[in-house]
Amino acid sequence: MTVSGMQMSQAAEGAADEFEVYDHPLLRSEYLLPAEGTAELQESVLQLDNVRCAGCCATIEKKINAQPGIHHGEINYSSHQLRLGWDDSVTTLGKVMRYLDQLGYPAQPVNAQSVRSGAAAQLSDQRQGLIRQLGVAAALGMQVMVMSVCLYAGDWWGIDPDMARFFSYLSLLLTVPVLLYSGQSFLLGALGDLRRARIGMDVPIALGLTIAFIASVHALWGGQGDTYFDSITMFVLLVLGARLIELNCRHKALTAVNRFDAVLPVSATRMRDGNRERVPLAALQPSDLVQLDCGDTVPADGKVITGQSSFDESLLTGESVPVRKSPGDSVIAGTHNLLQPVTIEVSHVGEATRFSAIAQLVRRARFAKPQVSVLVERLARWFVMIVLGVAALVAWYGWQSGSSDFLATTIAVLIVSCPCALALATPAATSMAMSRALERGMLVTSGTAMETLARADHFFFDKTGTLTTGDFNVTAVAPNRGQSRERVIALARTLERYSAHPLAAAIDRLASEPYLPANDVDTRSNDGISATINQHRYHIGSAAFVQRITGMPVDQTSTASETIVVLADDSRVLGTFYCSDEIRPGAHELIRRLQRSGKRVSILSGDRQEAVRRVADALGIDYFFAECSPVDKLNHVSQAVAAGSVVAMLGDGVNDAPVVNAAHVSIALADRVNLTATHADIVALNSSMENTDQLLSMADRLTLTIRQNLCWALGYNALAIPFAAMGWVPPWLAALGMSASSLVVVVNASRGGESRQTHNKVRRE
Amino acid sequence: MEIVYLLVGISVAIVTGVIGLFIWAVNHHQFDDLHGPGFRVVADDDRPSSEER
Repeated sequence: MTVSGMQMSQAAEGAADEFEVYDHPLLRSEYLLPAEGTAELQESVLQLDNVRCAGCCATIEKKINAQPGIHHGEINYSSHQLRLGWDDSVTTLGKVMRYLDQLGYPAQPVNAQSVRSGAAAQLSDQRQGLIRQLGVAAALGMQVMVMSVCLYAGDWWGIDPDMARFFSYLSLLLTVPVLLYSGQSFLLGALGDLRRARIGMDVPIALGLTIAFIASVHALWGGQGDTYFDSITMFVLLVLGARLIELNCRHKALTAVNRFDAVLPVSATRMRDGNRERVPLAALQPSDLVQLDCGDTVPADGKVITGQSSFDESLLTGESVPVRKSPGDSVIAGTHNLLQPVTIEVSHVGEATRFSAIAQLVRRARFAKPQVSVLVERLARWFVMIVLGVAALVAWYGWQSGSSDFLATTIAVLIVSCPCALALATPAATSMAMSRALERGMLVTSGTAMETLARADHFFFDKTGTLTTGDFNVTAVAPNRGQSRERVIALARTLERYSAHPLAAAIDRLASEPYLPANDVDTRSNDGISATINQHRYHIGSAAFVQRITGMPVDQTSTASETIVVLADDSRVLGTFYCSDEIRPGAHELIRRLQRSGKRVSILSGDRQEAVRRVADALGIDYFFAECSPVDKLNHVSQAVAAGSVVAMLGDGVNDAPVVNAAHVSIALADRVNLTATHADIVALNSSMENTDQLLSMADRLTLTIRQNLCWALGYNALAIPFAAMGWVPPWLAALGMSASSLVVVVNASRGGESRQTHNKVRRE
Repeated sequence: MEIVYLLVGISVAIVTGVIGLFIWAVNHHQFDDLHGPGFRVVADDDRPSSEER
């Protein structure tokens, strides 16, 4: 039986209290949203798993709403969250969750605190505000535009001066809310920048808007000069639109990250006076006794009191081989019990656990992240300075020479050059690329990650769980003389079905025939299993185990990089299985691609020299560092950074997290439950490295698109600013030119990243 | 041309109404999920209609 199979059957047995614990008063308060209606109507938000398509959502909604006591159940497709309202006198949250689990969509309640005040909620509020501002700008902008068309037409064909004044005043009236409400983020942003004595993108935008507005009001008042209300509204509308596109992508990325939150279980089995009771995690206290069944996640730090088992600590230590624990040994929260039930005594809970400490470390390391100063940011800052300088020069010169329309020229300079196109060049292309990447299962959490990835020239790979899957695989089966391969495999599978060890899963995958009937199974030993099949006693396990049980010498020669499993009866060895953890699919291609394009590839691993060498040889990697502690890894990466390389780190476990953060850009392969998931710049949501490969192509195309955009934006500005400074560009033409230039950039961005190759791939799938 | 004053007044009134309606829609989460509702049309609905009930 495989590990996951074991876990599933375990889950099915324990299902009764598994879900009822959510109705525990202590837990309930964390998940219930403030009731809007009657006392019976309760509301919660559940994060659904396994939702693949909108069809799933429709099915779940239909089924859930048909359940008794359900008031409403609505699923947001983009976040995969179910907002559930139910009648507490008819059904409970636990029942609904069990039903969802039976449907095949396991759900986790989202902490009410995070629903209300989490980062996702903040982004969602921000998005709503932005949509509101955009709507106002669009509706009023249209009106202003209509007025402007009339005024321009009036300039051409003649207009009644009263009518012109009326239209102008109306434009002013309609522009005020656009400027003050829709444009508040620019004005406030610029104010904030000035207060911190620095110059950002918002400064010329706000300056242009303010000067244009004041000049227009002044012109209206004095009865002469031009008004620029149309330019102001159009400008606000376009920039807001671009910001919304970017925000949407960030929103998508964040809601996807939230799914990795639930690493620790929400409840634990506490032993009190010999009785098992299911309690919420928050109720656990140090010195409590906790029963851990096979497949359980350790809820808190502690030490083993009774029982022996192996623990999968790969999440916390990156160690792929399960660690044996006997009474007295310590276990850490977040690890998995693989073999047998044990009882532990809790020593640390909540924030005091090592798990939590590592998470803290990660958060701290994130602040120390090296900032590769991005080309665009540098450029934009200089550009803004230059524009402001030119505008000031033009204004001063015009004022000195007593020119009557120096204000119009100044505004033209500010508007025509508005760093809009420049500001959009990167975020528009990046957000497009980010959402495309997400469609391929690559979650990009940082705006600059993809650009940095395209420039990276030194790639560090973690071994276990990154270059390898962390699952064991049988590389060779060696039946002894007189034994058929089929028979050896059949016997081995029959014995190993009683083990939850990852090696057992590997042997189980060798064939799919039904198991032989076995009885008198002895699973007491940690490194092997004995059973009777057809009145014949068989043993399987490590060479040491077989030698101990049968008392005969077992040849232990094997290439040191592989783990061996020996099958024997009481008198002789029947066969040997050579196991190693499997190279991740797509790893070969990715490494070859990187090497072809002249990037340096290294392996950093905490594993044994031989095991790392085997993987390095298999993948053709020349540089590898084995037996590294996390500090060693950090040193290697820091050295590469100090040597001027742009470093990309591909990792997996939590212990990599500080290293991941020291690198310029990091990719976490999080096909398993993984903490690094929330901290790496890029998270791969599925196991194939092919997606990483594709991401590199996307990053390259993104860089190309950004370069094109920048060339266009700079070329346009290089032409337009001198023209405007000479006073040859009226503000309306400036606004039009500005809009056109940003439109080109946005169109190019949405076009970029699309490639025939990836399209075909998707189609084939 | 005095009619223009009336027309402009009406159009401003309409735009105010439109903005009000839009803000109402935003506040009622109409723009939260722009992808899912489109699929609801094609999903089967097995719930009995009001007549069958």
